[in-house]
Amino acid sequence: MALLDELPEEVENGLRSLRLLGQLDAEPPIADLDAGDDGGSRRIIAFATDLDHSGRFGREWLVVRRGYLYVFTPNGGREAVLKTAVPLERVREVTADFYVGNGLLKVRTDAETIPLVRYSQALVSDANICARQISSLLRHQEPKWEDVEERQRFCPKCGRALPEDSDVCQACLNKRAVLLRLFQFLRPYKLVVAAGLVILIGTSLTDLAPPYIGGRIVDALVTGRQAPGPTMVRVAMLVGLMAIVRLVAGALQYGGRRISAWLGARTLMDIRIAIFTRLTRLSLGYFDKRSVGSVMARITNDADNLWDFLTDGAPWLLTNVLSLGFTSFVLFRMNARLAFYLLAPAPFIFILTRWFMPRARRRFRMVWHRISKMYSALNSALSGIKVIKAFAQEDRENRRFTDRNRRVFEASFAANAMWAVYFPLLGLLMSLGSYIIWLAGGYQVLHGTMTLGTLTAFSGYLMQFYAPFQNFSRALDWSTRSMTAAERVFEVLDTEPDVRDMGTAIAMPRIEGAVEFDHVSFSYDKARNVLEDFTLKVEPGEMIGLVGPTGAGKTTVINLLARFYDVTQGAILVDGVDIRRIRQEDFRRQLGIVPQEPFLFPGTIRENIAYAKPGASDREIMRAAKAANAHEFILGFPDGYDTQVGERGQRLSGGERQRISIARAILHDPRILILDEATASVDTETEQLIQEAITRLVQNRTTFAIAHRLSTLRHASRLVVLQEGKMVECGTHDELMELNGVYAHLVQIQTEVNRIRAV
Amino acid sequence: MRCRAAVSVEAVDGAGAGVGKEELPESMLEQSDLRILAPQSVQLFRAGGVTRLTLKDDRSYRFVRVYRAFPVSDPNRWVAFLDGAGKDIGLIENPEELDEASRRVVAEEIELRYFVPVVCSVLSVREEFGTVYWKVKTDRGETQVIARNLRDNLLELPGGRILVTDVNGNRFQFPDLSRLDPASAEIIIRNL
Repeated sequence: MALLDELPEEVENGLRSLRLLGQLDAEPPIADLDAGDDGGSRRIIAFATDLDHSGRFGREWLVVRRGYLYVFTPNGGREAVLKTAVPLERVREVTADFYVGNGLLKVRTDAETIPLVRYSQALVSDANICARQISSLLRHQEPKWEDVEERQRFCPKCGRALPEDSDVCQACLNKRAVLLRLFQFLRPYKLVVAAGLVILIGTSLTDLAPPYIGGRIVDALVTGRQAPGPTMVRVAMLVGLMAIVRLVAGALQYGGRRISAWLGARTLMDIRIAIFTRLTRLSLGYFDKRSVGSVMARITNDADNLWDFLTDGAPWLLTNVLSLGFTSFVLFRMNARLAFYLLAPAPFIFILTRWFMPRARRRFRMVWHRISKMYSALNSALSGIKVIKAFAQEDRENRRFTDRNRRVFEASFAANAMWAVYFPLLGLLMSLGSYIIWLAGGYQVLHGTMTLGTLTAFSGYLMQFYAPFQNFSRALDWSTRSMTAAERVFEVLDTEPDVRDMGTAIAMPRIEGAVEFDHVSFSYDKARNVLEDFTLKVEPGEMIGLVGPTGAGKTTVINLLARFYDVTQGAILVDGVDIRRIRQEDFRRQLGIVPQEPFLFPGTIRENIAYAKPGASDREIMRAAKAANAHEFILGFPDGYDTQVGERGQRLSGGERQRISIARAILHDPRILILDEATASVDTETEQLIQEAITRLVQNRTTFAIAHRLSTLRHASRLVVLQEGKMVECGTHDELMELNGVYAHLVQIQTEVNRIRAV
Repeated sequence: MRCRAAVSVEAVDGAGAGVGKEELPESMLEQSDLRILAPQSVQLFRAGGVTRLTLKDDRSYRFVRVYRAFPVSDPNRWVAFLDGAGKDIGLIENPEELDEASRRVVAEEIELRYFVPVVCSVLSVREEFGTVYWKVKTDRGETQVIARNLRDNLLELPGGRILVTDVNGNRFQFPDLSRLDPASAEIIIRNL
C-alpha cells in the first residue's frame, strides 16, 4: 500500500524545517485537507513510491500540504529533502502515465509539464488513485478516499506471495482449526464415524495377536519336549486361536473398508454441493477475478484431495498411531530393555523418509512437466502437419520430438532411480532391528532372562513397529496438502457475495419500468472509472439504444443495471427505488437479458425456452418461440421442441441460438429488458428475423439495447452515445443527426461500409 | 423435384416480402401469434400426390408438411402444419378431433416423416470391444441394432423409454428398463 495514512517521520521533519525557513505559505490558496493540524481525523494525500526519479529502486514521497504539491527524497538521515514544490493553484492537470513496467505521475501547469514521481508496475493503481485525489482537489471537491480492494498478492501476516487463485497462505494456515472444521462435515454421521473408530481399534488389536501367539507356540515347543501329547494339543489350540483372530480381522477389514468408502464419498458429496451452492450465489465480480478453471479446481482437485484425506488419509494415519501405540505397549510389557534398544533405528527411518520424499516428489513433478511438454510438441506437430510437409521440415520435427522424449527419459530415469537408493537404505535400517534382536535378545535368552518365544514374537513385531515411522514422515507433507485443499474449500464457503440485499430489502412484485441513473460512476478495479458521472432518466416502456466504440462503457451500463455489480458512486433507481434496496429475487424476475452469445444449457429446446419459467405449458412455449421467429425452424428439427441442444445435441447456428434465447426472454416476460448486441454475429437475413423478434419483444417494456449496427436501433426512442465512460450525446436519431456530432459520424461511416458491401 | 422447385420459388417470394416491409410492426405482431386451429375448420386431403390443407372459409395450402411439435415427449398431441415454403400454417392440439379422412392423411404423413422403430423384444444381445449387437423385434419387423459408444448415443426419454442411435444413424426406441431383458438393461444402465 503506497497511499499513506500518515506522513513518515522523515517527511514530517522535512516539512517542519521548511516551515522554519518560512518557505511554507501561511494561507493555502486552495483549501486542502491538513491532517496534522486537526488531530488526523481527516485523511491526507501522500504517496510513497518504490522508484526514485532516475528509475533506480528507492523511495520518494509525493505529499499534498497547504496548497502545495511536494516531492521529498530521502537523504539517508532523519530529514527528507525537498525536491520539487508546485503550488496547486498553478496546476491545470494531473496525470499518471503508464509506460513499460513503470509509470510517471506528472502535473501540467500553464507554462510547463513537471514530472513528479516514478513508480513501478506494483503501484500503478495507487498512483492512479492519488492522481484522481489531486484532481478532485483542483476542482475544489472532497477527494474520494477509496480503499484499494485489489486482490492481495502477498499474505498480510507473513508477507509471502499468495497463490494466484486464492488468498490462502500455506505457511500461515492454522492446520488444527482447519482440521476441526473439516470434521464438522462428519458431524451428521456421528454413529458411522464411531463405528469406524471401533473397527479401526479392533483391527489394530487383531494385528497384535499373530506374533504374540507365534511366540507362545515357540515357548510351548521349547518347554514341551518331555510331554509331546499335551504340548501338541496346546499348539493346536494356539493355531486355532490364530485362525480365529485372522477371521475376525478379515471381518473387521471388510466392515472398515465399507465404512470408510461410504463416509468419504458421502462427505465429498456434501462438500461439493456446499461449494457449488455457494459459488452460484456469489456475484459476478468473484468470477471476474478468477478463471473458470481455477474455480472448477475447487470442486474437482481440492475436493478430491479432501476425499483422499477422509477416506484414506485419516484412517491410515489413525491406524498407524494405534498400531505404534499398541505394538510398543506389548513390546515394553514383554521386555522393556529389548524394546528400548529397538527404538534406536526408528528415528533414522523417520529422517530418511522425511529427507527422501520431497526430493522424490520434486523429481516426479519434473517428469510430469516434461511429459506435458512432449505432448505439446506432439500436438503442434500433428495439428500443423500440413505446414511441416509443405516446408519439408519433417526432420526438424523429428529432432524436436526426439529431444523432448530424451528429456522425459532422463527425468524419468532420475526420478525412479531415487528408489534405488531409498529402498536399500530403508532395508538396511530395518534390518538393524533384527540384528539388535538377535544380539541383545540372544544374550538375554542365553542368560535365561527371556524366553525364546518372546524373542520370536519380537521379530514378528519388528515390521509393525518400524512401519509407522516410515509412514509418519510421509503423512506430514501429505497432511499439508490436504489441509491447504481444505482451507481453499473453506475460503469459497466463507466468501460473501459483493452484491447483497441491504438489510431492508423492498419487495417489488410488479415493476413499472422507470429507470434512472443518478450520477453513476463505476470502476471494476478501483483504479480507473469505466463509467463517469452517468445520468439518464428513462420512462417506462422506452427503448434506449446505447452507442459508442468498444470500451466506451456500454456493457458496464447494462452490467450495473442487471446488478451484476454495484455502482461505485451514485445510484440506479427503478421506479424511484435504489436497486440495491430492491429484493434481488423480485428484481431479477422482472429483468430479462438477451446476451450477445446466447448460452443454451444441455437439454431440450423446450427446457431451454422454459428455463426462467419451468412450469410453462406447451402452448406458452410455442407462443414464445413463434414470437421469436423460432417456431418454424424448431418444427423442422427431427425432434421438434424435444431436440437436444448443447454439447452432444443438435448443432444450432448463431441465429437459431439467438432466437431461442429471445424466446426464453419473451416467456420470462420481463419489465426491463437488456439486449446486448443480439444481432452481432449473424448474417443480414437472419438479422432481419431476429430484428422482427426483438421488435415484438420490446413492446411495452423498458429496453436497453447495445448494437454496433446502428440500423438495429432504429426503433429506439432515444440513443445514448458513450465515449470513454461518459455520455457525450443523447437524443432521438433525428436529433442526433441534426447535431452532426459523434453519432452522425458513426452513421456516416456505417452507411459507407454498407454501400461497399452492397457493391 | 417439382415440389422442391415450387418451394424455392415461394421462399424467394417470402424473402422479397420481408425486405419490402421496412416498418410494419403491427402486421408483424399479428402474424407473430401462435395459430391454434380448430379441428373442425381444418381439412386435409391428397390431390395428385400433393398434400393439401384447407382452412374453412379462408384459404387452401399446397405441399403441406405435417410435423409433431413434441415428437419425443408428447408425440400424439400438437401436430403442426407448414406450407411448401416452410411458413407456419398452424397447429392442432389433438389430431383425433379431425374428421376421418383428414385424420388418415395426418397419420400417413406422420408415419412417413417419423421412422423410429419401437423395440418390442430383444432376441439376443452381445457386447464385444465396446460395441453392442442387438437382434430385436420391432413394430416395423425384425432387425439388428449395432451401437458403438453407447455413452453418447443413448437418450433417456420421459417415461423411462430409451432412444438408441446405431452406427448407421438409425434410431430405435427401447422400452423402459424394467421391460427389457436383464443383459440389455445392464448394458444400458452402465452407459446412462
